[in-house]
Amino acid sequence: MRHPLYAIYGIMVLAFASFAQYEGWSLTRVNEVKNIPKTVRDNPGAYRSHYGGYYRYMGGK
Amino acid sequence: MSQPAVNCPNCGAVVRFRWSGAVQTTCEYCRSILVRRDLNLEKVGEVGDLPREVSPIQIGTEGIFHNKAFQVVGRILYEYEDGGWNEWHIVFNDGVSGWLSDAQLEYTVSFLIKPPEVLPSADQIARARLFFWGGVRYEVTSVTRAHYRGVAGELPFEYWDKKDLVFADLRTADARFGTIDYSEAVPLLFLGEAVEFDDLHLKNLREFDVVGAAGQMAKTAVSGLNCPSCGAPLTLSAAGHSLSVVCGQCHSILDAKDPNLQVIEKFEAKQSIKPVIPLGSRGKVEGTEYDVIGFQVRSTDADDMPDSWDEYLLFNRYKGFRYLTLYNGHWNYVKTVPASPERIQVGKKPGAKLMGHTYVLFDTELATTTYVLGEFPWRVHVGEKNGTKDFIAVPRILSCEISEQETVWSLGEYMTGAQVWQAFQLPGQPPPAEGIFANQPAPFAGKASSMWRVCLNLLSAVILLAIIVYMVAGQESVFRHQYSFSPRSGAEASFVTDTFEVKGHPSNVEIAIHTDLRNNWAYFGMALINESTGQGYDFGREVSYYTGDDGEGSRNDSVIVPSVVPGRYYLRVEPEMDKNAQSMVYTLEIKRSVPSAAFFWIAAVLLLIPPALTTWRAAKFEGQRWSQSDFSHRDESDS
Repeated sequence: MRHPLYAIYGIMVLAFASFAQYEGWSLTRVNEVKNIPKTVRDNPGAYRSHYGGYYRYMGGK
Repeated sequence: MSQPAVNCPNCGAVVRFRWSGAVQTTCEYCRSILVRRDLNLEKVGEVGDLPREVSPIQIGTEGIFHNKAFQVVGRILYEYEDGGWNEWHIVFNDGVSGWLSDAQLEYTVSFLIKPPEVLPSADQIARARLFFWGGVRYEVTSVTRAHYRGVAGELPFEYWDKKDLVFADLRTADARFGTIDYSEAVPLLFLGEAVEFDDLHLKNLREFDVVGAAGQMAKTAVSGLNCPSCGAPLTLSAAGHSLSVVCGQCHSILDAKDPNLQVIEKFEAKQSIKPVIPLGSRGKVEGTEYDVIGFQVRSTDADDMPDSWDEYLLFNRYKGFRYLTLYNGHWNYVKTVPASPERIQVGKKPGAKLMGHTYVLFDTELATTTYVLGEFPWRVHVGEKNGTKDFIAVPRILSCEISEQETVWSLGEYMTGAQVWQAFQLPGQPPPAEGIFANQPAPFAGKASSMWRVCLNLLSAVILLAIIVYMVAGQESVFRHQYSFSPRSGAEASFVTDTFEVKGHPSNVEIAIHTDLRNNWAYFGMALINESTGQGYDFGREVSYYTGDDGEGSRNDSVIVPSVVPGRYYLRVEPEMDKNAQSMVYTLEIKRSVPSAAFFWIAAVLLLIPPALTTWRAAKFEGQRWSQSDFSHRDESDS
């Protein structure tokens, strides 16, 4: 191998991609919320989503 | 080879013939020139005094050419205004006879052949004339008017009283060689090739005042003299080869061929220049020892920017002359090439082809000799101007020097200062290299292409990995249900789904939304909630779909929630639409362990960065290199 450092770097990149797949990493923005009360099942409307509660105009025609 | 013996008709000594086909020989005792007449020998003349022997070859020397053994049996010595050369008559074991030429220790082997066409007469032959024989382009590189100086040994013809003669030397782009010999009424053609000293495997060589094999000279082969102008001591290391010697004290240029060292000219030097490699130094380059015997400074004033470089002349008494050039700390080891490179076009640039290598024109200059020191095998003259053209094929540089008398091609190979310092065992540090030189090897050039090959292999591995991941990924559907939503109903929009089991190791979960939207939008505020721990992943997705000429969007969308630990989960969903919109039917589908192409793309980009960076650095280096050439952007815009 003429470029051992690059080859090692490449193998690390491949390992990173494999690990990311195994762990199920994602680039999607998701908020992790702790301790959501169990009452949400009985009263879903009481839960305030991080993303909810504001008007969105979607560029419709 | 048979060795018949007869008696010399002049002195009676035994004359032995090494070659039965010899027509003429010389008596080693009385130096009579003897010609065969039937069974007898006739004396036709006497060998005169020959100049000092400087060729390592002698009668009796044996060698190998193209795997065939030969022996030197005779010699003709020629002289011309600027020197002389030997034509050694060689006879191979199979009786074939040829000629080994030694001109200033540059060697060629050639054979008499029948000319493929009628050869031009001596007054019609001129430099640069081309011949095409057997598909090979021969160019006349020099026409020399020489005179016979002496003969020795056995020759295939009578040759002893000829006077002025014309010889035209021909070269090819692949070091083939030819001579048109005008010593007879009908011109003779000799064709052969240039050969390196080592390739001839010569033995029984002449022993000078030193003992040792080629490249291992003892330090005694010099002539000590004094300058006739100022009396300063002079050294002639290449006596017999040198034509000029320059006194370092008074700057007199002396005729090295003259026993009295006649002063040819004196030059004015603003200051004495001390070569960084002292004259007389001995070093080993490419396995051969060379003495530094001469030094000159040459300059140009291209673009009104005075510039100069140093040239060191190296000498080995078996292998001849080589050069070391120095410019801004950049060195080149140079030797003249016994060839006439073919002029070609390389893209938009002029080029030259030599020994299978293609060279690209780099620059054209007018070089002026401004300072000289030591000895030279040509008549040096301060103020002498020569046109030069440099062609490059990194790390080599092919230079063409054009004077009124001749065109000389030489081939250089880049050396670092450290290599030169090591070769000559010089103290201290070499001058630091500044800028980028024409044929300086690019530190990244070779690396870039080989790095791209490694990159290709790694990218193939990424693709293979992606295929495997997509093949083995579970993508297990853990939940699927259809819902409807009507914004006009005014009812609470949010709801929770039934719980579902997410299994396996921590991995991702994909939530896909499939709607029947048409010219409308919807927003889904969602939370994936672990029933037992209360841990949730909160996210929102927008779905919009419009038809028409400039339609856009999609009815479907998905989101991947990363690293979800196993457990029982449910979704809290809060759809939202325009208050006046029609109702929507949508399906939510949840899958476990879904492969993501994003990380393979990221890996590919990460793998591309190092070779791309290396290529960029190599391109930048080449840009800086060519900015010094005739083809820089500045010159192109000027023209």
